Amino acid sequence: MTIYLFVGYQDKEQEERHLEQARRFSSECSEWGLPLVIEPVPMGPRVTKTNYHELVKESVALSIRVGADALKVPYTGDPESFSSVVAAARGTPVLVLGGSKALSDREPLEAVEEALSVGASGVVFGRNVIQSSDPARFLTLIREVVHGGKTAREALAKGREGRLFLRTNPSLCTGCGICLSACAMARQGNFDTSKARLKVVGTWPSPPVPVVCDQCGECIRACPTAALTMDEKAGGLVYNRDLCTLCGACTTACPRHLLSMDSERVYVCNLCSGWPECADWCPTGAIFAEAMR
Amino acid sequence: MTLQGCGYMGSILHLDISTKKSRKETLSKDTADLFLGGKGLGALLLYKLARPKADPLSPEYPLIFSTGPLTGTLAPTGNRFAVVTKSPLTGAFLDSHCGGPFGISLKRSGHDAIVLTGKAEAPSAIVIRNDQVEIAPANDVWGRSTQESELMLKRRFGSENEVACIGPAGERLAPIACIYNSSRVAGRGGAGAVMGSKNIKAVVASGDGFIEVNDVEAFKKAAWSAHRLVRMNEITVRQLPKYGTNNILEVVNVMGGLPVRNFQKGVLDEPRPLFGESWRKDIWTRDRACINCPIACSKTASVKSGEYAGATCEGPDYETTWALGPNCGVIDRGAIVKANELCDLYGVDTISTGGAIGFAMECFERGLLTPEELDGIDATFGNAEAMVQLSEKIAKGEGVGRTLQNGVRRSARAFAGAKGMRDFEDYAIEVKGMELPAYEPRGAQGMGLGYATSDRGACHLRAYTVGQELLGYWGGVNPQAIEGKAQLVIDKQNEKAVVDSAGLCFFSFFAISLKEIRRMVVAATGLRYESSRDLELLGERIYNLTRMFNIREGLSGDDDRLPRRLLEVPLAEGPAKDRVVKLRDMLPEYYSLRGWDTNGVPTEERLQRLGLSQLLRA
Repeated sequence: MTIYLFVGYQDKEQEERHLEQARRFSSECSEWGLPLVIEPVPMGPRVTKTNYHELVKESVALSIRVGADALKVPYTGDPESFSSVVAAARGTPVLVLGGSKALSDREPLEAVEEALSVGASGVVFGRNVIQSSDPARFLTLIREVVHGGKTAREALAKGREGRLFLRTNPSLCTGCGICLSACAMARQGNFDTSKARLKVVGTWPSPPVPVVCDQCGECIRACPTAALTMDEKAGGLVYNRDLCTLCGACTTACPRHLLSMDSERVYVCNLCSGWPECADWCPTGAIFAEAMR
Repeated sequence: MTLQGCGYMGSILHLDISTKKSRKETLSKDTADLFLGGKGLGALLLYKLARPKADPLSPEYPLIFSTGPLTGTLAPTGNRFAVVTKSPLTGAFLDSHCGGPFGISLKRSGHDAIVLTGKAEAPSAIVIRNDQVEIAPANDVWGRSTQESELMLKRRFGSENEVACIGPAGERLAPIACIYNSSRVAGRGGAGAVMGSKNIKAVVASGDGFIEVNDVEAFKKAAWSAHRLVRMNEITVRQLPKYGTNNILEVVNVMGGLPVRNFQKGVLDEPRPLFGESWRKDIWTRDRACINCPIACSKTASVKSGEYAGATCEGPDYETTWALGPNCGVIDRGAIVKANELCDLYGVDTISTGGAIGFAMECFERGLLTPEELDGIDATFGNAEAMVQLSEKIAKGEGVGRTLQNGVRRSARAFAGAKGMRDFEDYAIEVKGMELPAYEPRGAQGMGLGYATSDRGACHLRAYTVGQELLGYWGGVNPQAIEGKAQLVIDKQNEKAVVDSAGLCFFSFFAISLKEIRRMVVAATGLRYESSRDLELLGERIYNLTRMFNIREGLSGDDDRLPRRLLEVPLAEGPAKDRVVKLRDMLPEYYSLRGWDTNGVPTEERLQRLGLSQLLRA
């Protein structure tokens, strides 16, 4: 038996009525030997955006007082705030709910991983499973995180074996440039997107087109000192600064103009050692990583 | 401690266009701490630098471009810049925000903000490249459309530059002129006219600096957590990406909150042609995002058939769809795109343009304006062709557009003066001189209070109570209830001031909250905001500062008003049937909770508590 418990009305009587109903459900459930799951829902004029997490906590505390056997709770976004929700449950199992179908498998898996790390007991997922393009696969993944003790990344690593390539689907590109910012942050620790290892070309009104390294090897062939090599197994370019003379031949040779250089070094795409950040952050699938065995 | 490398570039550029002299001011930690950036920083600079009650179109008046510490970072929607000045439309404080890439370029040139004063002798462009500031002749660009000007200037100064420019409307000082950047605009309130009054066609910026954050690892974690929430939220992962901001049109209409025919009705009988899915079917060709935005609410529109075949624009968003559509009784998508295109190319605000057309149409239908006075246009509600013709008149400032481009308040006065009758005022739907946007406040009481108390005049984005009142987000509340609305409006105003000062767009805020913003801001800047409460206080401080600016300009509680129609004339149908806005029942509580006196003036005690007291005296 799963019921909602609304918390957030200004009207004390109304809130008391809801609690009374929940208590009745609870006693009937124990009579019939049914477990009662309560999903606390912040609702009404006391709810602001800022206090949402506080109200979740408050309603969890109320739920266990009326006799919930388990709680179905939205993830509050980060482990710190969620651990206080778990604490409010005082040992009653906390199940993380799935909510709307997320953009990809990664987001809900990570949320579950984080929630488990601070004491959540499991999940209640609906839409993220049934609306998945491959529900069976998603179920396997989430089982591996909940019951197999794997991290989201470990679970997702399956199917990534082999040499990795970046691929694009230009018609999905919105021109947001998150890929560029993510690349710069991951590889340089700043937001100098001019040195990003990929590009988004086309300014309004022409449509944006993402351009990524396709490992064609022209830069390697142009390099006179063998400072660049290809990681044939995992994919991606390997740059050896010690051998590089900063001659710039590679930057001219790149048919996609993706290589940049300053007085320190040449900037090349190494596929972030197996987890390309551009693809990870891309919100539309315009850039994605594909493994080829 | 220097702020450079901590989300900030650490400096503010002051340029006197008349003398061509510029100087750099260091952005102090105290200023960042108290006002963050964007709106807050702009408001502080304006308060300190503007001469009270000066004409915003006079050369001396400051025009400020200001960014936030998250502008240009990987924070979701980390792209915004604010344009801050006094509005020539309202005479009140103006902050107008834009998601174009200009703000990021400005930061790359090494500046968090620029303050422009003075006036060029001839049409010019300000070109900023790192520390070099040049005032370049732009005679040949003057008179050209926004889009053409941007392309010309990018060709001239290099494609690495970003261009914030005005169209012909800004050049001729139309009080509803906007500032354009890469098909995004700082739309409301007439900042484009302030730029035009300085003979400045464009500000062109580029640089080799780059935006850095204080703690890269912590920032990456905080930014991904925020992105993850955006990527898990129904509104930001499905509704806005797929149907743009028009995703809400159906619900707002069902709730009786969609203003129709210049606010004569709150329900549109045939809304379907304007639903997001209808646009998506045959007009929108592509989803388009601002920089660092995972949502992509914007769309590229292209009309393929019918009278307006060939018309293209970015959008139309919900507000524009409504202003040029239902507000004029129009549901013809092609016509709306055509009018939107004209507004963008000539550089006028689409909401105010639609507001002015709705006003003219009602005056025409009531026999207050004759066909001759409207250049022979048959300005009946629902006449799509007339709507496009009037948009063109306003965009070009021709014929009746010469009057209407001044906004509905001044148009009403002009017509009243010319014809010796006062009735026009009743049909001018504005607050503080700014035309109302697309939410019928008789259908959502909090929105009414929000419009009345917004610092820049009728604006839906100072207190978006619509989320709770009409859309059921964040707990949902009864739209007709009065209780709790004052506090709701205050909370929304304060948190929005934080979003606008951080350099973020409100739309990521559908999924994230001050909790996530705080984590990103702290990781980026190293500033010590201990809790969401600290940020709420920051927002309150900024909102009180803009209030004090308005009071210094001579505004008072009397200006926290709504048009008579919304206060006295009940809606005739729909869920909000028989309702008016009960402003008088909410305003005293709002003032009291704000710590303002009965005239709407912040008390000394409150200013002191917010750390503003000293500062305002200095």
